Amino acid sequence: MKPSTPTSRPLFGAALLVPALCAAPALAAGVDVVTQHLSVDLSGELLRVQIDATVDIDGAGSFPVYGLVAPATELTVNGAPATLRDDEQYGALVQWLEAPDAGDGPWAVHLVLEGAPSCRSQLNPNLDACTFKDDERVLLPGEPGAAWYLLNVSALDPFTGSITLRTATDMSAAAGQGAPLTDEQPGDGTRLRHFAIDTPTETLGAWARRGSAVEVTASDGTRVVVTAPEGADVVPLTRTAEAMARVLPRYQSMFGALPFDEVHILPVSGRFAFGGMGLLGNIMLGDFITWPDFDYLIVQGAAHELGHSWWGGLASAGDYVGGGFLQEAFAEYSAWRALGETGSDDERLAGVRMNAVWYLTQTDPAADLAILDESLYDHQDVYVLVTYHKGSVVLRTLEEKVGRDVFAQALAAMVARGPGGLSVDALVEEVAAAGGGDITRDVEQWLRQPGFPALTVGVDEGGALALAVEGDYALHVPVRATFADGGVVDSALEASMGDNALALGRRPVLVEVDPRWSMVRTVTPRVPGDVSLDGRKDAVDLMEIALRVGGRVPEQRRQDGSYDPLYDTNADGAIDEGDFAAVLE
Amino acid sequence: MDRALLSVLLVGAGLLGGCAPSPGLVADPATDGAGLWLQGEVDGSHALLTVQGRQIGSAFGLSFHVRIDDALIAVVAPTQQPVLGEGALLIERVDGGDVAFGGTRPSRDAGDVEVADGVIATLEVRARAGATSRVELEDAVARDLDGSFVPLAAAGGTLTLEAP
Repeated sequence: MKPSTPTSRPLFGAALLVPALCAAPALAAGVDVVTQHLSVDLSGELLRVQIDATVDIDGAGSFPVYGLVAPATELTVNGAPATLRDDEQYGALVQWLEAPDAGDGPWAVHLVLEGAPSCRSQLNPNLDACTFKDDERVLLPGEPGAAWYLLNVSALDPFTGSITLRTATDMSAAAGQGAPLTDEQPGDGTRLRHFAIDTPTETLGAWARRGSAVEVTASDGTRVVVTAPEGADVVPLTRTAEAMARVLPRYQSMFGALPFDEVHILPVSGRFAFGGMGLLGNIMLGDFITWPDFDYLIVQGAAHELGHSWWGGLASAGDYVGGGFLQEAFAEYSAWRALGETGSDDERLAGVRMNAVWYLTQTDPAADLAILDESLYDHQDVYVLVTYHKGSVVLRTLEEKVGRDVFAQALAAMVARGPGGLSVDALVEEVAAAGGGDITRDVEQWLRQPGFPALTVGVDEGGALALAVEGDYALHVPVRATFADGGVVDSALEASMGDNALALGRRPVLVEVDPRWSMVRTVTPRVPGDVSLDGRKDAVDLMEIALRVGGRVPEQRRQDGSYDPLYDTNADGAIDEGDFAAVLE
Repeated sequence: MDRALLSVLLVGAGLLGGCAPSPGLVADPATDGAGLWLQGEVDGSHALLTVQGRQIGSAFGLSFHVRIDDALIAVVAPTQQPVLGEGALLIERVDGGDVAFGGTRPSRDAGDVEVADGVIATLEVRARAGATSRVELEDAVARDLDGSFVPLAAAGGTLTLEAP
C-alpha cells in the first residue's frame, strides 16, 4: 500500500483518492523526486513558478503528480518536450507527467506554471488552496488540483532543494526552512529571498504579506518572527511569538535541534482550511485566530503547529493507517507538555483534561473507532476526536507509565528516524530501547480498540481502596490520598478489568484517582455523591463540587471548560448548584 | 439493726454508689491552635453535645465527623450554626454512629469567610442504655479557597448517660 503524508493528504480530503491510486498497476514503477529547486514569483498579477527537479524513475515513462494550481507553460524532461495528462478517473486533480522516451534513471524535469492561480480548493469549494491578494500571497502545501511543486501521488516522497521567492519589496516573506540565505532587491521594485530546503520534505508553503514584523529571540538563540498584518491586533500575535520562544527550546532539548535558527508565524486570511498548519519551521495561522473570541486558541494552536516541525517535519509517518496519530497526536501531546514544562503544570493539566473531556463528551459510543482503525479517515468527525483528542492523551498515558524522561528519550529516537520513519512499531521499539519496557499491551488497548475504561472507586473504614475497571484494560492508575492530619500520599495502582484493591493504611478524607488526567477515563464513586471517593458522603464532597462550580462542557473544540464529569453529579453538562443534591440526599 | 452492721451497709452502699459515675461529659483537654472541642449538657439519659471551634480563621469549608457508640447512644438531632455565612451548603448526615458535619461556601466566587470562635454544631443524643462511652471528633479539616486542607485539632470526650 502506498503511504501518504497523513498531515497533508488525508486532511485535505484525499484519503480515499490515495489508496485508490495505490492500486494502479503503473505505480509498480519506482519514482523518487530527489530535488526540487523552485523559483516562485509572487510579485505580479499572475503567479509564476519555475520547477527544476531531479526525479529518479525506474520502469515507466510517466508518473502521477497532484494537479497544478496554474497552467503549465513549459515542460521538458532531460531537455525534451514532455506532457501533462489529466488522470482518467480523477481528472485535473491528478496529472500524469509523461516522457515516454526519457528512459530510466534521473529525469531533469523543467516545468513552468504561469497564470492566475486557481485558489478555490478542488476538494472543498468553501476553502482556499491559496491566497492571491494585493497585500497577501500564500501558497499552501499542494493539494490535488492546486499543487505548485511536484507532489508524487504514488509514494511518500520527501525531497531537498531550494525556493527563491520574489515579492514586492515591502512584503514580509517566508518559505522553505528557516531564515532566507540571501535577501536582495534587484532594483526592479521586487525583492528576492532565497530559502533552503535542506531537510527532506514534501510539505512546503510560500508566504508573503504586508504588515509589521515582530521578532522574539528564544533562550537558545532561535528567533521567532511573526508578521502582524495591517489592521490585525499585534498583541495576541506578539504574545504567541513570546510563547513559542518559550516552548521552542524545550522542543529542541526533547526532540532534537531544528536545522535552522529562525521560525515564522504566518497569519493567513480568507478561507484557510485550518485554524493552523505547521510546516517545518513555518506556522500558518488563520487570521481569525487573533480575534478576541479565539484568544483561548492562539497559543495552544501555535504550539501544536510548531510541534509539527518534528512530527511531520523532521520525521513523518510511513504508514497510512495511524499516520494521523503519529503526527497530530504527537504534536498535540508535545504542545501541552512543552507549555506545561515551561509554564505551569496546571496549564498542562488543563490542556490534557480539555482533550480527554472533549473526546469523552463528544463521542457517540456507537460510532467510536479505534485510533488505528483502517476506516478512520473516512469518518472525519471521529477522526478528529480520536486522533487529536484521545490520541494525545494516550501519549500522556504512556508517559505516565514509562516515566517522563524515558518517554522523551523514546520520542527523540522516533524523530531521528526521519521522514517516513514514524510508525506504531517504532514507538514500541523506541520505548523499549529507552528502558520503558514493553508497551504492546498499551498499544492494543488504547490504539487498536475504541472506547475508554470506566473506573468505579470507594474506600472502606480501614482505608482499603477498591477500584473496579470496566473494560479490557491494564492500567497504571495514579492515586493521591489526603488525610485529615494534612498528610498526602501519592501512589499508583496497577489495575486490570474487574476489582482491584490498594491499601491506604487508614481512611483518607479525599482520594483523587488519576488527578492529573493521565488517561482518557471516567471516574465514578461507588457511593453516589461521594465525589471525594473516601467511601462516605460528607462536607468534603460538598467542597469538592463547590471548588469546581462554573465548570461546563465547552461549546467549542479546544476550549477548556474546567469540566470534570466526576463533579457533574446530575450529568447536565455543568458543575453547578444542582450537583450538591447528590451529596445531600 | 445492729449499729455496726448498719454502718457497714452504709459504707458499702456508698462504695457502690461511687462505682456508678454520674451522668455527664468529661471533655478531653483541648490543645492549642486551630481546632474543635466538645462541650456537653447532660440530663440523665439525654445530652446536648456542642462542638466548639477555636482559631479556625478564614475558611472555604469545614468538615468533621462525630463518632458515637450507636449501640449505646442514639442520635436525636444534629444541627449546625451558620458559621460559613449566607449561601453556604451544610450537611448533617447520620450514618449509624457516624455523624458528618460541615459545609462549604457555594463556589469560589463566593469567597471564604472568617469563622468566629464558638459553637459550630450541636448534637442531641439519648441513651439506648445507661453506660459510659467515647465521643470522638474525627477527620476535622478546614479548607482554603484554593482547596488546600488545614488540619484541625480535635478533642472529644467521655459521655456517661443514665439508662432511659
